[in-house]
Amino acid sequence: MNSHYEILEHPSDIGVLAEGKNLYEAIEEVSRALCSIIANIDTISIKEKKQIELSAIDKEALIIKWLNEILFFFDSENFICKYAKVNKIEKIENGYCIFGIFEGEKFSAEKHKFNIHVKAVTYHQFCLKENENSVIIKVYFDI
Amino acid sequence: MLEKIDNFKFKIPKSFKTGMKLDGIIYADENLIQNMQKDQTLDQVANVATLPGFLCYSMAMPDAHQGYGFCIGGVAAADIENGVVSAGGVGFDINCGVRLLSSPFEEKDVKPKIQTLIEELFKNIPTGTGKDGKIKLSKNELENVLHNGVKWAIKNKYGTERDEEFIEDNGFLNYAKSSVVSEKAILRGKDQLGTLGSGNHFLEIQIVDKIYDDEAAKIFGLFLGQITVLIHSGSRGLGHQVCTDYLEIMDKYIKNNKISLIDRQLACVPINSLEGQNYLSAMAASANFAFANRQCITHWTREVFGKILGSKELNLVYDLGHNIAKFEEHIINNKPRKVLVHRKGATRAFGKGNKNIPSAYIEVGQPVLIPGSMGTYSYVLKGTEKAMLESFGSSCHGAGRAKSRTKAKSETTASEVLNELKKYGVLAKAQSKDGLTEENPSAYKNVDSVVEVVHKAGIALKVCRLKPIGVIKG
Repeated sequence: MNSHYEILEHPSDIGVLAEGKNLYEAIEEVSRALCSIIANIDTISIKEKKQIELSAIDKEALIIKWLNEILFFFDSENFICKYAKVNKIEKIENGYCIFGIFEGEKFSAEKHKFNIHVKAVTYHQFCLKENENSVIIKVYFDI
Repeated sequence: MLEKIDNFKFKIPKSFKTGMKLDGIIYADENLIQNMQKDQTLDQVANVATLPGFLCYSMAMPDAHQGYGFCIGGVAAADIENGVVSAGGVGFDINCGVRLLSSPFEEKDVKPKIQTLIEELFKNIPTGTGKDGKIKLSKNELENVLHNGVKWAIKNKYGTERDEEFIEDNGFLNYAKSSVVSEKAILRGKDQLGTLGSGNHFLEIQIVDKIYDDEAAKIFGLFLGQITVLIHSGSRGLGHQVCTDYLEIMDKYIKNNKISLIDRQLACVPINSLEGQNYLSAMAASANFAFANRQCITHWTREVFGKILGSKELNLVYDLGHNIAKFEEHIINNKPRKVLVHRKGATRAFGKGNKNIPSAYIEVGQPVLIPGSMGTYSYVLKGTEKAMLESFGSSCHGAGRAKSRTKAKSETTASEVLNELKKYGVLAKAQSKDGLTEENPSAYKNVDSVVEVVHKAGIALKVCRLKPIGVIKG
C-alpha cells in the first residue's frame, strides 16, 4: 500500500484523511497534505532543513503539535515546507516525543504557487486509527 | 427535538443530548435553520451547553455554521465564580473583527479613480501570506503593542485620539500580559503588525446605498451616497499561536483533573484557575495586537486616500471584535451579574444607554457592523436593549459560509469571479487566486436574510446598507 490522502469537505475549513503503512508514514502523509494545501509543493526546493523535537501528552496531541509546527515556521521564518520527515517517536513518562526534519526553503511569492493560509490545526473530529498494516489520521485545519 | 419558539427563534431542549446543562437557542428563520441542520451546527450548540458554569442558554446567531468546538456564530456566558473559559470558544483568530471608516466623499468623487485607489491600497497594505508587514518590531516594542493596543498605534502616529474613542473597549484590554504569551507567538507576530492576512480578510470600498434609520445614520456620521471603507482583519499568527498554545495547556488540565469532555476542541479551564487567568491575559494581549493591526491598516488607507483623492479624512465609525471573551455585566434573573461572554463569530450589540459604548452613540446604541461576502452588501445596524436582555448583548457577525472552500473552488475560476464581481460593479484585487474562488459570493449565505432575522428578532436594528465598489484581499 502506498501512502495517500484525500481532502475532506467542511463548511468553512479543510479536512484531510491520510493513510500510511505505519504511524511515521501516516504523519508524513498528513504533513504532505498540509504543505500541499498551503502551496504547490512541486514549486518548493529543498534548501533548508529544520530539526524538530516535540513532546505531547498523547499521540493525538503529538500529531497536532507537529502539524502546527509547520504553520509556526511559515509565519515566523517565512519557511515553506515541502517534506516533513519523521525519524523517531518515543514513549516518554508523560506522553510521547517525536523527532524529525522539515525540508523546504524561504517562501517567495514569485517562485512558489501559494494556495491558502492555514491558521491552525484543530481537534475537530480528529481521528487516529492504528491498524496492523495501516494507520489512518483524520484532521481538520482552520483556514 | 428542535422546538420553534417564534418565527426567528428555535430552542434545542436539554433533552436533545445527554449532559446538556442548558437549553440551546438559535436565531434563524426556516430556511437558515434547515441549512444549519445539514451540518453539525446544532450539535455544537448542544455540546457547549454541556460545559460547566455557563448560564441561561448556549446560543447561535443566524449566520451560524459548523466550526470546531463552538460553532461559528456561537455565544455563551460563563459565571465568573464557577464558570470556565474555553480557548476554542474564542477561536484561533483572537479579536478578529471589523472597522468601518466614513469619508467626506461621494460615489462621483471616487468611481473615476477606483482602479488607482485599489491598486494603491493593494500596494500599501500588505495582504496575503509571505508578505511581512512594513513595521518591524523589536521584542520590547511588540510587548508594548501587546500591553497597549491602539494606544501604542496612536503614540506612534498611526492614528488620532478620536480613533480611540470609537473602538470597542477603546482599543485596549488592560489585563493583557505579554509575559504569558509564548516566545513562539511573539516570533509569529513580530513582523505581521499592519497586515491584512488571507482567508476571509479584506478591505472594501463601499457606498452607503440605503438608509433605514435616519436618526441613527446621522449620529453614526453616515449619509446616502457616501463612500465608506470596511476593514476585516485580526491578530494574525500571534493570535493563532496563543490559541494553539492554550488549547494544549487546557487539554493537559482536563487530562490531569480527569474531566470528561464531549469534544476535545472544547478544552476549558476554570476562569479562576492560574491557567484560566493566564489564558485571559494572553487573549487580551492578542486582542490588543488585533486592535493595533486594524489601526495601522487604517493609517495607510488614510494615506492612500490623501494621495489619490486629496483628503485623508476618514473617520472611524466603529471597530468591533467578533472572536473574543469579554467580562461584562448582564441582568440574569432580574439581578446584575458579572459574566464572561464568549463570542465566537458573533459581535457585541449593546443598546442605548450602555456605559460601554462611545458617548456620541449613547442615545442610539452601538454600531453593529455586518460584512457580507465579497461583492454583496454589508450592513450597519444598531445594538438594542432587547439584545441586552436576551442575547447577552450579542448579534451576528457576517453572512456565514454556506459552501465548503473546496466546493466553492471547484465551481468557479478566479477570472470568472473577477468578471462576476465586475458585473456587480466591484473591482477586486487579490494576492492569491484561491483567495478569490474560495471566497466567491455564492460560497456564503445570503447576508440579507441573516440581517433580516436579527432585525426582526430585535437583537440589532438596521441602520444602513453598504454596497461594495472595490475590494482588496489576501
